Amino acid sequence: MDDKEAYSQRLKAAVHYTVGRLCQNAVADCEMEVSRQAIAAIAETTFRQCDIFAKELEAFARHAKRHTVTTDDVKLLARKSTALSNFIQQKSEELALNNQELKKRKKNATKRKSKDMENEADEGARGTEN
Amino acid sequence: MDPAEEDVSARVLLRNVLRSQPSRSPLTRSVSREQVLGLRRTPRGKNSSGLQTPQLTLRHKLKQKLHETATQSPLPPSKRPRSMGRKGKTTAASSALCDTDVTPRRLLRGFIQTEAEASLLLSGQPALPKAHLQPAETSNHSSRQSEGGNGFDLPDLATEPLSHVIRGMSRRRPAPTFSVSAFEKELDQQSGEGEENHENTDVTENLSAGTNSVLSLTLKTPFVSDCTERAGLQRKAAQRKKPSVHEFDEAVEKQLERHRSEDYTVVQARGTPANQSIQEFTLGLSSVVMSNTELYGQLASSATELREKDGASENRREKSFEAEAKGDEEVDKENLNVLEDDKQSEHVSETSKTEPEPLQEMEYAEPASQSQEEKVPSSEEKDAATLSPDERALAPTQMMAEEKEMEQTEVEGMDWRGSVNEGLVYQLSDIQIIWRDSHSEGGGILPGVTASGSGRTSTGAELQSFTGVIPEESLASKDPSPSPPPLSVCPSPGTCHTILAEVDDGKGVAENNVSKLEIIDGDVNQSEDEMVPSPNHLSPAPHFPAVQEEQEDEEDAQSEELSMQTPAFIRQRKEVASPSAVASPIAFRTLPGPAGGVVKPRPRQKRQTESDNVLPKSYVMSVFKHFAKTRVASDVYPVINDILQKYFSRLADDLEVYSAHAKRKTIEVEDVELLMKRQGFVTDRTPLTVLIEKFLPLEYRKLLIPVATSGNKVIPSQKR
Repeated sequence: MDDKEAYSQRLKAAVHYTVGRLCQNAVADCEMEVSRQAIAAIAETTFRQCDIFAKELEAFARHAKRHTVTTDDVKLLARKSTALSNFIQQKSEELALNNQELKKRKKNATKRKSKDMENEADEGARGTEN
Repeated sequence: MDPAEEDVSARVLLRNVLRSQPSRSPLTRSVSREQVLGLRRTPRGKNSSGLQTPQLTLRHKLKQKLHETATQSPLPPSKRPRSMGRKGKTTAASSALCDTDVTPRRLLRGFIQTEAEASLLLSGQPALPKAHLQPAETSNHSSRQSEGGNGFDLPDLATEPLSHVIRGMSRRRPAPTFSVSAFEKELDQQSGEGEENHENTDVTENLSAGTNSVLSLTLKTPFVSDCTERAGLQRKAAQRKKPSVHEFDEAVEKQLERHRSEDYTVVQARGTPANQSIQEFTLGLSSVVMSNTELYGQLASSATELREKDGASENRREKSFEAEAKGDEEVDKENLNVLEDDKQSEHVSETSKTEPEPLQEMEYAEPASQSQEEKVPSSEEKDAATLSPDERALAPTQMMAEEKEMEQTEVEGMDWRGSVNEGLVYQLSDIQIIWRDSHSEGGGILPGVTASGSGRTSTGAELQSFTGVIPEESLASKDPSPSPPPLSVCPSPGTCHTILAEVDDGKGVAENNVSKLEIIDGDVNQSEDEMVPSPNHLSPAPHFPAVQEEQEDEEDAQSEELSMQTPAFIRQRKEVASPSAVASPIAFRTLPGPAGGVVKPRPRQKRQTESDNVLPKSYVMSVFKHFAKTRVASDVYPVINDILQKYFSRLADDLEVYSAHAKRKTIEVEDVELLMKRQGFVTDRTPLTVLIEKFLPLEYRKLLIPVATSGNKVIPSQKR
């Protein structure tokens, strides 16, 4: 339990940091500042919303009698806000295209990478050995 | 200690005391008390002593006051004579207590003022047992006084229930609050006066006044309370029905007469008593129906007249003037505009007024209508043909609606007023002006129409819903009115038809009626279209048109004669509508368009799509009020309707997506379960079964939760 709490604390801290960075970027355009309490509030809200998202995604996946959460579940989740759902729809389409491309590239790249990795590993091993 | 026992003994003791004429010294009083108490018991050792300290006497006095007031209130005035006994006592007591600066009078006064209610209660009990004994009361007081605190406490508890019983038995229904205040006032006044006068007299007066006031209060208060109660209860029912026919007629006639032109003077003269009589005895729905029919007739006739510019053919007039006093249509034709404006203002103002006022208007209208009726030898009401367009027809419908509502006595407060005014207008239906004026009152007309139309299918609910709209409309601009009036007219044609059927004035009448109906229907349809774009407050109106349509259909289907009449009526309606369109505001743009028959299906379709309520108004309002815990106005229903519409559409959408997500084509229970999870009704803490147990009846529980009734089986056999 303590580990879980510590883990969640770390997660929260990570979220807080990320939220702060995003807020700074968003505020920089408007030439305004964001108070720490606001960032903390947003971070806390985001963390809890993530929890809710996870539960709902799990429910959706189970509803579809699957064991894996897919993009379809995510799209269902985003239905509440039309803007968000549209955005996610576009993103998913892009991702689908990218995935296809990536798959093609990966096939080639993995071969090269694996070769590189092997080379690096060998070099590393040699280095250590030496 | 039984109060009865105490009372009896007290009585006896008091009598003895009175007879013995206790001296006016405190000692004697205490001594008398002792004597009284000595026989039964010594409630207080202190009292038993011959002498009482001023404090003790004060206490006793207070207690006595309580008892006195208690016993005094229920006692009838006839028991005043006992005050004599009190006189002696009070005087003695007063003199005795002078030292302590506490006089019985003062004590009593203060006691009454501060603990009036309690005293009343106390008085209740003693009144009953001693009602028959005047002196007994006094004796009670005295005895109680003498007994002091002992009797006081118990009697309080004992007397209260008895007092309630006594009150129930007695005719009087004292309003303690009233009596107290009045009693105090009287007491103060009398006490003030008494002080100046003789002590004895004062005392007696005070006591008697107090007692009388207390007693009288009981007598008075029930009177007042009854009056107020009855007045409150009777407000709606009794007052509404009274004026209906006569007042309306008179008011209508008066109105009409004012605006009538020369031509119509003849009409006035013709007012046949027969029509009036008919109108009179058809106070009820029939009268309303009758008036409705007149409206149509009037409309048709008026319309034709307008076009032909005839002085209103006698045929039309005859038709229009059947039975009901609709009259003024012919007259109004010429003065439609003028009348309308006047009528509207009048009606609008009337709506704000109380019933009697609208009734007066109706009376005005009636005489005018009567005059018109006279023109037409045929008594029945029928379409007066002239004019004025839908507005006139609407007015009568409104009036009819109002009448109906009045008769129904179920109209809501707001609606009631609007409906009453409108009803008046309707009855005045003879006056086309009314119709026009009723633009704003269009809403009212609709209800009226429905009422009339539903001579067959009375729908109080519709009326109410619509009437709710009417006041708003009436207060609003005239624009919406055109649409409602035409709608309202539609139902009335139905009713008119019925009436026409009843009265066979002649072929012309029948034909006219038919044409009128057609026209009216056409107008109604048009109005319906207009209704659709009308403002929000007309949202209930769409509901109304749907109803009207239904009514129209029913009417047409039901009576053969009506079917014949409708075409003529509708035609007339059209004619009326066209001129009215010019006069009426923008709302009537669509009127001049298609024929009645063509218009019918279109608006109906539109209406149905928009006007269908998601849930019945009564159901929605009852549920809403239950959860609101405060008073809820009826005009929230349209808003709730919209919200429900959106909610259910979203609900269905979500369920559809969920089922698609599961690659199914049917919405299943698990889809609903998922939705409930998303909505937050079902959480980790509250599974679905908990909700089922909480909200659904037992039978459903057995069906939905097999485990619950499986008798300790983990995996119960599925019996679905």
